[in-house]
Amino acid sequence: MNGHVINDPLAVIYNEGQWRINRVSPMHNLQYGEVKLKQYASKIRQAFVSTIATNSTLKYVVLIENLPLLKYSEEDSNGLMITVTSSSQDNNSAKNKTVYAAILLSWGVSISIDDATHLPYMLEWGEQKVGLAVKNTLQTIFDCNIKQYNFTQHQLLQFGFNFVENDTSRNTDPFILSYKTPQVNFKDKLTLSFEVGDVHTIWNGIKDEVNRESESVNLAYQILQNQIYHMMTLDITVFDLCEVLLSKAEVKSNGVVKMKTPEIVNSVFTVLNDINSTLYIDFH
Amino acid sequence: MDVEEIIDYIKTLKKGFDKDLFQSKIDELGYIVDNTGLNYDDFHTLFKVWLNLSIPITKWVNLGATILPKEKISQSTIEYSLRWILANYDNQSNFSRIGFLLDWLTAAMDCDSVDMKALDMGYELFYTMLTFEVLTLHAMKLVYTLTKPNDVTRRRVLELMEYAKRREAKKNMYRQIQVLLGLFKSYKPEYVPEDVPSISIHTAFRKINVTLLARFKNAQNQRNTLSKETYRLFWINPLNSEGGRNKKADPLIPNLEFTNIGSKQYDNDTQKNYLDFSEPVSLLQYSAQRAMRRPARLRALLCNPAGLALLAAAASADHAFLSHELHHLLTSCFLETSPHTYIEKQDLLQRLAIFQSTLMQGLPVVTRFLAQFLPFWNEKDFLMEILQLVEWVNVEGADHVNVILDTLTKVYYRAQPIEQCAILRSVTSMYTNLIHSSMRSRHYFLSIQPTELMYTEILTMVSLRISDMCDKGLQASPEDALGLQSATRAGVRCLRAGRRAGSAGRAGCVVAPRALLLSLALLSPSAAALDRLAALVVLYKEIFSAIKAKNGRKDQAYVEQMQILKAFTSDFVSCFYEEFLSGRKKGIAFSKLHPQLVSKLTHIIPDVDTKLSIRNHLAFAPYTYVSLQAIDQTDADNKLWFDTVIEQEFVNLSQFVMKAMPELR
Repeated sequence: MNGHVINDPLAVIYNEGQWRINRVSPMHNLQYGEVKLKQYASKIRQAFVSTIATNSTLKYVVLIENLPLLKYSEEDSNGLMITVTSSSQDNNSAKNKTVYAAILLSWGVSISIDDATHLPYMLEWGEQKVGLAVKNTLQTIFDCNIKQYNFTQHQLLQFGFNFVENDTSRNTDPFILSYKTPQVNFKDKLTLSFEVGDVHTIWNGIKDEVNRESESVNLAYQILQNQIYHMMTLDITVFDLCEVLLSKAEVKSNGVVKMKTPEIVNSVFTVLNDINSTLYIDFH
Repeated sequence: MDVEEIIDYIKTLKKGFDKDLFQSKIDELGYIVDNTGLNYDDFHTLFKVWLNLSIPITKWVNLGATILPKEKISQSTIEYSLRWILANYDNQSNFSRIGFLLDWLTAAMDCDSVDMKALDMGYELFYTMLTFEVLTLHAMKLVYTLTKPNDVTRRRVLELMEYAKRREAKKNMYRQIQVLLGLFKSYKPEYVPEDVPSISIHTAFRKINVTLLARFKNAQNQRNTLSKETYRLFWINPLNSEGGRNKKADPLIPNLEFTNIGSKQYDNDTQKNYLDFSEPVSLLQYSAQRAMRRPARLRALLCNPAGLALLAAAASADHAFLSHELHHLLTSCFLETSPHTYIEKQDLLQRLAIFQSTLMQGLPVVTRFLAQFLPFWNEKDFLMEILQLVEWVNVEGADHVNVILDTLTKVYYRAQPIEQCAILRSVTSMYTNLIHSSMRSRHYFLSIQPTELMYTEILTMVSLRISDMCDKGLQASPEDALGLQSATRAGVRCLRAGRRAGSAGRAGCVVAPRALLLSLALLSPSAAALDRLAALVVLYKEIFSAIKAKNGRKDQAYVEQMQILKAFTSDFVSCFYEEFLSGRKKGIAFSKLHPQLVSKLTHIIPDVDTKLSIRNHLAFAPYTYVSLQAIDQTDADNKLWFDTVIEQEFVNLSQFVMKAMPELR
């Protein structure tokens, strides 16, 4: 693959394709020592060896690594990477295949409690069953809750416009909005394509006019809606926005995100922090 | 029926005794044992006498089947039986008695009616009884039950195999020995390398005298029903054990577990965990002194009262952790889609409500959750649980409480009367609970003590909402009896709490007196409502005098409220003094009556003032009619009526009359 950067700590994120994003509550007594990480890994392995179909030719190995550089500021806790590889021993060849990977990280905003670490975001890709076993084990060991994000239309647009601001692609690259028909069993999605350059112009144009970011998102979308109506005489508000796709970044309403540059990674987490800001209130 | 008399009779039994008399005595004894039970001393005496009787065997057995104590058989009796066996086993003719005695002990053992440790003393003796073919059958169950792995020795195994070989011809006896060998083999397989066929143990044991067994069982039942229930700690949430449990989702309130990371083989840390304790009081005492292992999931502690106490006493870091975890959970469960069932969610809310009422305080995370959830609520789901949760709110969350009350008032206006009562009751509880917590010094889950100002702000808001709710509800349906009753009751509760707060030196932020409520109560055909109305007036007077003494006549709101109260009291009093119409200008309830209406009333009803008075009020009709029927109506006056009716039945009304109209006494 082109453009593999090795030394950037964010590379583990943008070198991959699509990630599922989860929200994590504070984790109790998470320790970063070598031995402890190995013990957590073996606990995870115990958990899913018993639940996943016992395919005797596949051996699973779980590895947890400490990623001390994967963070936004010094106050954040170190990130963690969990990798699950399976190796099948059929006669001579031993193939190692990564079936699942997860990254837990904090990006500048987290809750601080004694004896607890807060890594509010968990990215994962790979087999669903393995992921479920990993998440269940983490929840039991650290007394936390992990739930996949579901993004509302407003949040998707927040992501979208943020991507446009931070995007490094050409002006003519596509900015695609994908819609589903609500309450009808119609699987096909309606996609509308704009040029990134145009959207960027719109976005810059209104930034001076409004105070709060949420208002600017609404206003920008309003302009786009008018544009759509003008082009196709279609009232797009009837449909549910479910995806926003750019060439180097994608976000879907079921919590799946693709981030291919470090700037996009930063913008994704900034928006997530913003979304969660209403949640992080001091309960003391 | 005297037990001692029976004992004497048995002691004096001689050859050629009267069979019928004997039988009747046995029946008597049986009756006593079945109903009142023998106390232990009598039993022991009887037992000894019986063992040493020399009467025909069948009668002896019948007698034996009626002798047993109320309590468990203790060491003294067992010792005596063992000694008796030792003394008598050399004579073959005693074997049938010994056999029955062994049966008797077996029956006691089967019904948990004997001290097992004491019985264990006789193991060697019982084992020796196996030597005798006749007694093997009787002793077998005892030996089988009392054998412990330590009792298995190669020597014994060889002995048993000897017996087995000798008795091969007699199938029954052979079977029993095999069964015992099978047990030995399972305990110490290395001592029994030979093949032992597996035989059902129940075929090997003898059937015991049915009457005896029934009697022992009966005694056992009696003991069980009388024994005290001890409260055992139970850390499992019943929902998680149900058959139809939702497999898709993590349980919301999981069973209590402790996770181990890594090997515990060399772990010298001997911290106890909650599962080591079976009794709540000792658990709480221990945890207060020493640190204990933290459970895998803190919220599993919500599943029983001991856990709630532990949570309440936990460190503030644990409280903060729990708050954030609950926040995450409540958001993902209720504000987003989750795979949990309705019942699981309901259970979670219920347990949170119980936790709040245990702490006697609202949890900030719960108040916040309610403020987020209620605006989108469908007013049906979890209604009871929400009303329970609402009773305790976080003092610092005035904004959240505002949102909660907004939603609840909207629901109130649209609800059916019964639901209206429930909502009003919950909101009134919210108010009274806030007042209670304002007088407490210790608060949980809050980093700083709430200030006076916070309390004043929130109490004012809540009290305003309550009086608004009642007022508008009554405006919407003034004839609704339920609504009126619940509104007056709410009023009295709030004022009593407010008065308590006032006497403790805190601003009560009282619910304002509303003319509509007061007037409707005055006109309603319910004596209870009138009584409560009197209570309201008296309480208001007390509270307002206290406020005046403290603040003087500065507050505008106070002045207005005082005016309303004064005006209404004058109305109330006029009704007593039979000046209802003539005095209406001074008051507020009837001051706006149309003059045409008034003139019509005066015209149609002669002597209208007297007729429309408290004494002739419809509400008191059941009382006035009955009490005064012996006296000529025209002689009846207020004083008489007061003495006979009011003072007896209506505490608040009599208080009011005494304070406002002392001359009526």
